[in-house]
Amino acid sequence: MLAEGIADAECVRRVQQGDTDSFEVLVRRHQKAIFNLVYRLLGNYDEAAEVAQEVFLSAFKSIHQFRGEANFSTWLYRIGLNHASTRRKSLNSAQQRHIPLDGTEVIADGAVDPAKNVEHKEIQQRVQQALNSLDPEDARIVLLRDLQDIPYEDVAEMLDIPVGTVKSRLHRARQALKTSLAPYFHANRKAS
Amino acid sequence: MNCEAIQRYLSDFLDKNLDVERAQEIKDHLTACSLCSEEMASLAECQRLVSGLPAVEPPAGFTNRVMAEVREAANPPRLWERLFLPLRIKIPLQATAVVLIAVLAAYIYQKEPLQREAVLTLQPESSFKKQEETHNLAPSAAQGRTAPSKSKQVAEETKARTQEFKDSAQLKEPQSPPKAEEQNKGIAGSQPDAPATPRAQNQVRSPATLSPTPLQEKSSAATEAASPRLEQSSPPVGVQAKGALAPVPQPEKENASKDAVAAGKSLLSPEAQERSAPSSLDALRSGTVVGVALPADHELAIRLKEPVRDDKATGDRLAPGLAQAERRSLTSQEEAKNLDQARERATQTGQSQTVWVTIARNQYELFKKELADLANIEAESSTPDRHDDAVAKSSNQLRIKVTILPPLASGNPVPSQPSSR
Repeated sequence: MLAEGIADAECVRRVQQGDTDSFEVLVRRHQKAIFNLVYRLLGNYDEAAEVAQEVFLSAFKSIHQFRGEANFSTWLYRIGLNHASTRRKSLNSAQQRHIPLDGTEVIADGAVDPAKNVEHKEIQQRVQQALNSLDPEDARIVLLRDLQDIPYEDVAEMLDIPVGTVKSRLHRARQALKTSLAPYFHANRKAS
Repeated sequence: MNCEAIQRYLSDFLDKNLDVERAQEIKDHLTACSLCSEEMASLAECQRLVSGLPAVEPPAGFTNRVMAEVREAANPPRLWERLFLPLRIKIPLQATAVVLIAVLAAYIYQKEPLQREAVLTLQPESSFKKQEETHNLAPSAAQGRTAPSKSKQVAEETKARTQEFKDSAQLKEPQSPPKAEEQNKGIAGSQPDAPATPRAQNQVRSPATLSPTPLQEKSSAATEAASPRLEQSSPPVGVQAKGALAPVPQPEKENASKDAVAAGKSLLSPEAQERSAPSSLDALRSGTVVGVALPADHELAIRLKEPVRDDKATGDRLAPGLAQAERRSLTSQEEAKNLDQARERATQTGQSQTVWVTIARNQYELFKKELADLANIEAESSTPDRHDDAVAKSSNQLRIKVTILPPLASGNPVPSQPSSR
C-alpha cells in the first residue's frame, strides 16, 4: 500500500532505508513536471520519455547521496536538466531536432473549432521552435521560470548560479524569444 | 529614466519583482511612451505563450517502466540468471555459440601445423643456445664411453663455429634453426618459443651437476642418451645438425649413434630430414648436413666428377676446391672451406653431404659456374616462399643449399645439363 499523502522527504528517507516501493510515490508525484521540462528542452516526445526514465533511475541510484538540504523536487530537476542537456547536445550533433505535429501536443482549452485547433498547434510549434533556437542555458531558465513557475531562488539553486545571473539571463532569453516570435506578433496584430 | 533604462527593468516588472517605487516609475513611463509600451506588450506575450504551452502527459505505463528498472537496479539479477534467463531464448543461442566455436576450433586446429612451422622458423636464438650448451656438456656426460681428447677437441671446435655463426646470424636477420632442434625439444618436453630457453638449458645439464627434480630427471635421462651422439657425431667442420635425439633404449642408441657417425650419416629422423629439406634428393636422407639448415632461396644438387688421380702413392688428391682456388662468388671463405671439406667427405665416404652457403644475390650464376667446374649440377630448384619474404629480399643475399652427391662409378652416365625441378 503506497502512502500517497506522505511528504517527499519521508519518501526519500524510506527509499534510503531500502523501501523501493516508496520511490513509486515520488515517481508518480514528479513524473509530469520532469517529463514536460525534458520534453520542452528536447522537443521530441520519444526522446523525452526515454530521458525522463533515465532521470528517475539515476535519482534512485544516487538517492543515498541526497542529504535533504534542498527540496527533493529541486534535486530531481537538477538531474533532469543535466540529462536533458546531455541528450540535447548529442541530438544537435546527430540530427536536426523536430517538433511533433502528430497530435502529441495537448490543446489545453479543448478547442472544438478545427480552425482554432490548427492555429493553436501552429502557435505552439512556433514557440517550441523559438525555445529550441535559444541558447541551452537561456532555454532552461525560461522554461523553469515561465513554464514551471519556479521562483528565482530555486532556479538559481538548480542551476547553481546567483539570482542576479538568473534575472539577467531571463531578460536576455525573453528578448531573444521576442525577436524570434516578432513576425508572428506582427501578423497577429494585423489580423486583429 | 530614459527608455533604455526602463527596458532593462521590463522583465523584472513583468515578474512583479520590483519594489513599489520602481514599479510605479516604470508604470508611469509605459503609459507615456508607446515604444516602451509596445516592448512591454511583446515581452508579456512571450511569457504568456511559453507559460501557455500545454502540459504533455507522459506515455502510458511510464511509472511501471521506471519502477521495473528501479527494482532491477535494487535487486540486480544473479550471474546465473543473467547468463541463462530467459531459458527459451538464451539456451539455444548459447548452444549455437558452442557449436560455432567448436567448428572454428577444429578449423584452426587443422591449420595449426602450418602455423607451428611458421613459429618454429623464428627461434634461432634459443636453438643456438641449446645447441651450444649441449656441445659444452657433452664431454662430461660421455666420459668413459669415447676417446676424451678427440671429443673435447671436436666439441671446442664446434662451439667456436656455433658462436661464429650465431654472431653472423645476429648481424644479418632472424633465421630459422635447424629442424633437428624441433626434434630435440619435442623429446625434452620444452616449449618451442624463446622464453623456454632456460628450461631447455636445464634439460641438457649433466646429471652429475644437478640434483634432479622429477622433471630434471626426465630431461637428464634424455641428455644422457643424447650426449654420446652429440659428441661423436660432431664433424670437424660446420655446425652439425646431428644432435637429433631419438627416444630409443640407451645401449641401442649408443651403438646406433656410433654406427651412424662412422658412416657419416645424419641422425635426423626421416621425418625431420624431410621437414628440414623438403625438396632434397633421396640421397640426402643418409647424408651429412654441414651448416645450419635454414630455409634456402635455391637448392642445388651436384654430382662430383671423378677425382683426378695424379699420384697413386700418396692416394687420391682432389682437384682444387672453392677455397684453394680464388673463388669470387662466395662471401665467406669459411663457407668455401666447408664446401670443400664436404666435397672431400662425399668422395671419401661415398655419402651425400649437404652444405648451406650464402652468396650475394647477383653472384648466383657465377657460383653455379664455379660449382660446374667441380661437379655436374644434377638438379636446381628455387623456393618461391623464400623469394616472397621481404626480409630475405632486402638482405640482398641468397641462401643456397648445396647437396653434394659422391661421384658415380666409372661408366655410369652423368647428366651434363642441369634439370630444373
